[in-house]
Amino acid sequence: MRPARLLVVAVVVAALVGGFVADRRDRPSADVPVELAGSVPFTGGGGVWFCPGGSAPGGVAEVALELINAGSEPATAIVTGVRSGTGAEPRSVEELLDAGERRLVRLADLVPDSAWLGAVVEVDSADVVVEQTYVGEVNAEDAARGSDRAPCHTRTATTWLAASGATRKRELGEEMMLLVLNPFLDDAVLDIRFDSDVGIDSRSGVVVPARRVVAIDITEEVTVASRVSAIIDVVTGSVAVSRLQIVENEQRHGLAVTPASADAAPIWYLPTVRRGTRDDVVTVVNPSTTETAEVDLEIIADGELEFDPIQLTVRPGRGVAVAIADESRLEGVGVLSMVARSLGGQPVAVMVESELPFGDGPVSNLSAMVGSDAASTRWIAPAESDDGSVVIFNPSSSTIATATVSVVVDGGLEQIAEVEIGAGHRSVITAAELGGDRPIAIIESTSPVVVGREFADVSVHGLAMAIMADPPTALVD
Amino acid sequence: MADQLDTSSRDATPSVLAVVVAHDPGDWFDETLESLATQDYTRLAVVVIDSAGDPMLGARVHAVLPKASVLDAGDTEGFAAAADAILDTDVDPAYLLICHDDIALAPDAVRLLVVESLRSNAGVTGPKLVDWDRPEQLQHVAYTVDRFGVAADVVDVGELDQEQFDAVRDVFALPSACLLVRTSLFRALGGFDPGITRRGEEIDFCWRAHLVGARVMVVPDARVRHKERLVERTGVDDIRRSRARHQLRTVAVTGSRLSLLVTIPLMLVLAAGEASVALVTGRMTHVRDIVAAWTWNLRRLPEIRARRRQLRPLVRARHADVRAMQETGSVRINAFVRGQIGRRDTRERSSFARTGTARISAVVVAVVGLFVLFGSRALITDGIPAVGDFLGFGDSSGALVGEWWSGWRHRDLGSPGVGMSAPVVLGSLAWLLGGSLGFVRLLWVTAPIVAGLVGAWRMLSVTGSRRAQIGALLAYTIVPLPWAAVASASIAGLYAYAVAPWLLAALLHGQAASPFRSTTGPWRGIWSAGAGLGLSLGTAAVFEPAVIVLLVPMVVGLLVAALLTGRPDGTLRLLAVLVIGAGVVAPLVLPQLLDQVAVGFTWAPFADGRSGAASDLRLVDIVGFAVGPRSLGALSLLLVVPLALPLLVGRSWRFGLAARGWMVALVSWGVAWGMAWGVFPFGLPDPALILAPAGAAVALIAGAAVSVAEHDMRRAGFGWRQALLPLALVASFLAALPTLSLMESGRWGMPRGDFTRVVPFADPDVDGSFRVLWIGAPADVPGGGRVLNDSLAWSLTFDGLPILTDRGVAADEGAAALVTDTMASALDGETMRLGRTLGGLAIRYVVVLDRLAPAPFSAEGRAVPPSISDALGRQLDLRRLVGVNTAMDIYVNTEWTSVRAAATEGFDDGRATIADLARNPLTGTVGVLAGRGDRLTGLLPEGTEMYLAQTHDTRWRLVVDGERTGRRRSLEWATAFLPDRAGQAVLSYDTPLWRQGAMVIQLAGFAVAFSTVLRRRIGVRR
Repeated sequence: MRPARLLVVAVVVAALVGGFVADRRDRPSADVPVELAGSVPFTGGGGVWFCPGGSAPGGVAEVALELINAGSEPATAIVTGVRSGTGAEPRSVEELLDAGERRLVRLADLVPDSAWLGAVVEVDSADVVVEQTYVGEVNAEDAARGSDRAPCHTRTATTWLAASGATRKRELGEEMMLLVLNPFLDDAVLDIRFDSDVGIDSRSGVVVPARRVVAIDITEEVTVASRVSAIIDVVTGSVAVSRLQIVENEQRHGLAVTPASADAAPIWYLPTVRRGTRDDVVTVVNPSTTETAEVDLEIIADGELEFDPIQLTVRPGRGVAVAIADESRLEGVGVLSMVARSLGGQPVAVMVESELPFGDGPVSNLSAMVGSDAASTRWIAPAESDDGSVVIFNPSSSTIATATVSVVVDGGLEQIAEVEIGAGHRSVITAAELGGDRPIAIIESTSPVVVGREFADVSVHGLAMAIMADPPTALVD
Repeated sequence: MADQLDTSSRDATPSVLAVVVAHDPGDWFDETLESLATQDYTRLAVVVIDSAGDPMLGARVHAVLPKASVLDAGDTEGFAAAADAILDTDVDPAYLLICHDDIALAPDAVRLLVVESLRSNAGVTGPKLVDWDRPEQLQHVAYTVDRFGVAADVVDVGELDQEQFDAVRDVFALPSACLLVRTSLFRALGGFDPGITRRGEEIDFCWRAHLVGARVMVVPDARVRHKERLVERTGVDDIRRSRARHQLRTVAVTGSRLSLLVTIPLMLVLAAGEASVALVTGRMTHVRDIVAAWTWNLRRLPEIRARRRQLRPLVRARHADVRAMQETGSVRINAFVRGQIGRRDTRERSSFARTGTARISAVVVAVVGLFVLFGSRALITDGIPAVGDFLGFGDSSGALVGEWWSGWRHRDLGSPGVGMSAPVVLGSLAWLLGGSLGFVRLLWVTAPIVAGLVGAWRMLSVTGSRRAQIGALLAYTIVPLPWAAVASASIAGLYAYAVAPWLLAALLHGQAASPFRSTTGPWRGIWSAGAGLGLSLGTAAVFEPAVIVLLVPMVVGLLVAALLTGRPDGTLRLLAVLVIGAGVVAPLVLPQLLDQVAVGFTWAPFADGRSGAASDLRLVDIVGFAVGPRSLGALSLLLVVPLALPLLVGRSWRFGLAARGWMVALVSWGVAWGMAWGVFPFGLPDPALILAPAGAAVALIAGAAVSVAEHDMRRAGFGWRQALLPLALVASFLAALPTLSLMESGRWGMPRGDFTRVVPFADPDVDGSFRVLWIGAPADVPGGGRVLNDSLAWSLTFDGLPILTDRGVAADEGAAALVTDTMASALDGETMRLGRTLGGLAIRYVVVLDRLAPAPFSAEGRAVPPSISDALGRQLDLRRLVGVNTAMDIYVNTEWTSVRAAATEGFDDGRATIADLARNPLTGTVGVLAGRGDRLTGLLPEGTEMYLAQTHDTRWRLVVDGERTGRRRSLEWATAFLPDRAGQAVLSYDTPLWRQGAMVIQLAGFAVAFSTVLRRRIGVRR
């Protein structure tokens, strides 16, 4: 074979064989962002807040909005009311917020003749946070049945999970409702699956009209259940959902409005769980219709204490509740954080219900929180009372986070503390350390952390996540 | 004269008078006279009619034929009138033998003619005419004639006399060179038509002879040599002119009234068609001759009527019977079509027709033609759905041309520019065809396939091997690229397929390696190669500018092959051909070139919405050309086996050709593979386009493989090389199966329907013009798109579905970046008021496609990432239309503004940019001046401004009640006109003269180029 022929044949064979061998490798693909359940609001999400709201004045959970400008520049917010049922179309109002200002907006002023009120708030700043405040119905003793606060959502979704609730109305005065906001131009249709200690149930074809709020009374659907979880599949459209839980009996009374989880996730961080001073219950729900979830509840205690995780098997469509008080090995630990990790990656939803021991005063002793499936390097944590706290949890297994805690003052930030948080550890900043009257805390960290809030004073006991101000990051270590 | 006739003996033998019409004959005339003198027919007299008034002619005649008479007809013009002079004499022989002065009769010719005339009772008989110098070659035996008086020889030019026409038979007409006519018939008919000076007198005479019931017969045993050099002798080349005149005259005289009602209009149509072709090819004299034929006859109408009156009482035969003897169809059209087949001269063609390879070629071409036709049957009968690049043509061809001429593009957010020039070409063609837009649209899609196959056939014509050409043609047919392009509705793929073999051939000619090497000089043929390259490229670029990309793998492949084979000597020539080609292409794409220069060059029109990100196309599909929606499996890879043959066994130029083909194919496959892996930092066009050079290279190698079988494998004794041949044949057959299977649907897998009746767009006349935002995979977005992200593209269309003028991304993107940015912010979750922002861009609908055509016409789709529906679904001002079609999600923007909207004064105050609309949308606008075009009229209400939601351009102006209004920029990208009154408004675009000048130059360039090509191919024939 002549050299030229040899050369050409060699090139052809090498190119084809080499090509086919190389082509067996996987193609490079663009990084697909990890889908986050996004239960915690993120202020950079488009400047629109969806507030499923509550009841009109005199209702079971009178709602108002609080617009909080955590930035150093003035900001504007356009609040558009959303009503339930039919009637006059709600109004919009534009609010100009000074730097560091917290302003209360009465939704009833925008939607005067509606039983249930919601809102869509459009803001022009990523430093503005929108929260809902609730006051319960005045009872026979002329006392409100409780109060709570919860951030609005920054997104709508097609799947929502309310992991926990109770409907023993007749015996214990427990009522559970779902508040559903449809901010869009088309009607939304929902299918809801319930799982409870008394069995499973479902309701199909629930219509949420366009630009309306609908309150779905679960108590009517699943009666006499000490534990109810609801999985909402939005068949058409997209909605935002909150869970409203009311308790009114001789031993307990209170009101808790909790944002539902938008979708499930394989890992959840619960920054603050307590044993002893209050009775917290962690509920894990598996929304799958086919797959069983094996879930470890990892216990993160202060100091050098280490505990084996609480191991759960959650069947498809079912929920499992764990009362921390029942975990005797945790006696004396007091405050802790938890990580709910689904070992097979099966997405689950988690909620922690918290109840203070009943005292002498008119304390609302009920609260709940869904935790977070993501971490972030910047959080906004509007504080509520002198007795509360901000809990910073570093979920990393290897990275030490340095968190700077500041409060908004006079159009700027005043640093309160700088804390170093070891991997898998937590740090608590009390409201007293933050100082001021209802301060707005800003937590900035060198690596992603999870921040929760506790409110506790004579009138309020509450739990809530802080609000992410940097994009959420999924932590896989 | 009468005394010449021998009446002394054998009175039963009819007398014959040979009438030789002489016109200043040459030396050969003596031989003519001698042939008459040596006839074995005794009762033959000769009279020579001198039509030139030559005083010396008598002496020449009498020197050979002392008894012959010479008749002076110097006052006549033409053969017919001169021959008719015999009627003025008192001679009355039984027969007249009318002869030209340039024939030589065989000694028995007259006798045979007379005998047959008597035996068959024929009125007119004629001999077999053979060439004067080469008597073994037939010249004329008889003529077939159609209803238009056009005659055709029954023998081919240069056809050898093998006694194939030696049967005596009735014919329609005989040449006037030598005719034996009964004198009574000749007298009754008044001889030839004296108005027919030259050419056509015999057709007219024989036609009339038929009408009076006489038989016209050819007697091939009678042989006559004929010189037939009238043009040389007269110095006048008026063949076309005289034939055209006389054909029309003959029809007018001989036709029945009824038949003339049909024939004359048909002749007019044919004349108009012939004149159009001549006009296009720049043959003005041809046009003049055609027109003059009609005016010439119109001037002679009284004469024609007189001849009809004379003929009418003589007619004995039915016109229908005479018509039955004529050729059906048009002899001229048949001849014209035959003339397009190739450029070889007639002698070569006649030899070609008799070879065995010619028959094989004809069979292969027929089979390939049937394959294409059968595979396309549903497209031909049902039409081509308007999906992908195959856009609709709108309402009229005039609108297409008008929009092209306006120099403003409505697609996306509007921009100045020409876009592709396909609309003017196709629109003009449709106009020429009487507005047949559907047919032109079918041609638009199917003609490139035929052009590609012709190119593959011609690519190896230089080898002189018909089998090699067959190999190339078959290989190019089974390469599934065009079928993938049809299935994907990819114009880029189709036109790349069309032009690739032409480009490769031009480059090979440019490189001038054997067998493309010219022996007449190293630079010989470089201009024609460059011109061929430029013309091919320029023509294809009119329909798809991205075809220019094809040159890169071809040139690189050829250069690599030159290096590998140690023959880099053609490199300079190749580069020179590229330069010349660029010079030819430049005027043919001048408007598009200037558009590119104006914006400083942009790649977007070539990328077709592709980002350069990796795709899931595998190498096995690339090498097998399976880039369409249907997977062809690995069987098509077997094509590699026959392609290996010339590389392993080929010698001499066959190996060189294969090496070049392989390198071009490897580079082409490599580019496509790199594209699939996302190695390029920019987007490349449709993979079908990128693979077209490989397709042409495969055809080239296949042709070389056939040549190897012809030349190289015969030489060697039996061995492994010979074993390769059956292996290659079997592999070729198997490799063809996947492509053959594509025929089944009759549409190559293309969707059966389009969006026309699926998408519920509003009528723009109701609320004003609007835009539709299409989002999908680059191949699915109608008309081609711009990059949205790694996997998606977008395009904006005007008032609903796109039309042809919307195809292709404009070089000047105008404000298109606003759409990309706005959509990106929505995808990033930064806005939930997308509708407000898009509304400011006059976008009323957002359509997300996950396949090429709506369900159920297209089942397979490219899934759009759910992030798109998530992003659109969370918008507060977009309403999704439910239940429209599963192939798409349609969102209606509730915050849209019309493209041209009357708005309250200061409507955009406080809104600096389009992004501001997310919080502060435009409100209180009303659509006005709806419709496409560069001039729109309508009423403008009192106290309003007009928001023109398209890229700001100062050449748009608004005139209200005759007064030009002021304007300002609005939202940084659009225009607000500020009329100071209500009234009749005219919004118009003032196209720059330089742009229209460039368009004129482009058209002129094409006219010159195609005129040149056509003149070279058909212009030399008369």
